[in-house]
Amino acid sequence: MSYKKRKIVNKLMLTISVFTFLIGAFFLFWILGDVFLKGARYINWRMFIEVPKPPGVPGGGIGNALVGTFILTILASIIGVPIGIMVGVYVNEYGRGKLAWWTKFLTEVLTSFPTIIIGVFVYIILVVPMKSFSALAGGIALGIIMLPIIAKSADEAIKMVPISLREAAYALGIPKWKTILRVVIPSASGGIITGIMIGIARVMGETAPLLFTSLNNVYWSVSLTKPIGSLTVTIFNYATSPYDDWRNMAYASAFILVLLVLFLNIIARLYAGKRRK
Amino acid sequence: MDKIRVENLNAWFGSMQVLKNINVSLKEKKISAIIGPSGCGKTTLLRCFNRLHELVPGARVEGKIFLDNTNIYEKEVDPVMVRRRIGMVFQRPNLFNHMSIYDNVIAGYLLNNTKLSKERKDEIVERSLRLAGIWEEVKNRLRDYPSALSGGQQQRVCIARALAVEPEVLLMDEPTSALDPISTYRIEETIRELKEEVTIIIVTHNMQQAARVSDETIFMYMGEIIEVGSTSQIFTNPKQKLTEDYITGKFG
Ligand SMILES: Nc1ncnc2c1ncn2[C@@H]1O[C@H](COP(=O)(O)OP(=O)(O)O)[C@@H](O)[C@H]1O
Ligand SMILES: [Mg+2]
Repeated sequence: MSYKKRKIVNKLMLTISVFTFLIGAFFLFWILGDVFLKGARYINWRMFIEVPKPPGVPGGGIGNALVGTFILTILASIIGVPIGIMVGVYVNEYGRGKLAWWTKFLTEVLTSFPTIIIGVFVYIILVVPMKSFSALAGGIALGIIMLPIIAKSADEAIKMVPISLREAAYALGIPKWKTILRVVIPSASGGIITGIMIGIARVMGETAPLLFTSLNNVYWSVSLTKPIGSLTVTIFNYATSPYDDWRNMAYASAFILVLLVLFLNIIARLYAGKRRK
Repeated sequence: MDKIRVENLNAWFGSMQVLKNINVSLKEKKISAIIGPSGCGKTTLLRCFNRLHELVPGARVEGKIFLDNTNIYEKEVDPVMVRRRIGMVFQRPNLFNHMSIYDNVIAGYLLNNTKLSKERKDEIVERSLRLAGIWEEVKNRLRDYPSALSGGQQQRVCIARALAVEPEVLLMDEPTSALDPISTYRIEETIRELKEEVTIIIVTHNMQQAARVSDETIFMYMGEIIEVGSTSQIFTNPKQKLTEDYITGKFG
């Protein structure tokens, strides 16, 4: 290919990639802008400390949903974080051969698994026998969704820890399990923490699995065995309602959720960037 | 007195045999140098002494190594216990970056959850850093992280870390190969002073270094030991033609 031709192809590729980037960015900013414009003006401080009111009644808020999302996220983390890290450790440090390959493969599958099916699964094994929707069921469903995200980031972060560091510990007479716990995982903590934040941001935005598990609760509740409200299900209910004031509330809640998720993602990126240096 | 005796040792990476029928004895509280061209198996032999070789996937060892008359490859011997008695300094400094210099020195205790009083810790840190010849340089920055140190300083902290657990034998794999002449000089001084404390086995492909620091020299070639003798004998009056060719620089 002549130099001239190569330059033209180069330019063309650059133009195409800039164009596709602009399409992606356009939709992202459209959604952000829409949520911001329609949501921001309905935000007031009482929203954060009140529970929903019937349509037409002034006031009302999403305090219960915020608390619910918080509890669900904690439950999900209690399940997803330790198991995810253990999977990452297993495939790197202990897994050789077939079983490790399958573990990795299933982690990949679980990552792209439709989350609604995870919701149905937890509904069948937990909600039906307990005869009640519950925060616990919601937390477990979100934990299962979070697990492969944590596992993958832990796997990648642990892979980056040089063998020479492990050998330094072995040579001091440190057993393998202590080396993993006190050298490998701390050395990989940057990547693992980034993964945890991305995992949390991800499950905070889940709706479908919650419809089968934690359902919703318009009252204050911190009980693990009772249904519990969440930002996403609240948005779903409000947004699909025929009442204007509820729909406005949905926009305001969406705005808060987007901010939370964005915040977690940005912190994760900054943290990852800082660690890389 | 022999501290270590190797009998019919063979080692493999997968199907490639890299150590062939090694037989050698190493004297207590002496410095033994292992020399030989690159790839001849020096590092592998060293890593057999503390049972690190077998941790490489696919690697295998056969034969016996006696440490004070116990074969460390006996079934009931725990490799972790062997490694507590035989310390190692690697070719490149490998301090734990998530721990302070102070904690790195006592890592052998900390990572094992061995409880020590504050005074005892301070004492071990100072003694080890002094032995490694780096106390003066780091005494005011013990709480810093190792990345703040130069390569030569890091390597000497690695030596201190290995010494802190009071090993009977110290293995050193080309400890100065990545360092500048001044750091090399300091580490060689350190090695000579340590002779009073521990049995040292040092791998080097720098013959001047072997001549400068060691009492005994082992010459290896293609996975085999060609000649063993006092350093002065090996360097002035080698018995094997191959040894002579190597130390006179005919190949390397
Ligand atoms: N991790 C490994 N996997 C496979 N072969 C290896 C590995 N490390 C070293 N070898 C091979 O084993 C032989 C001996 O290596 P080594 O003991 O490191 O030699 P030296 O330290 O004398 O340079 C060389 O041929 C080298 O290529
Ligand atoms: Mg080597």
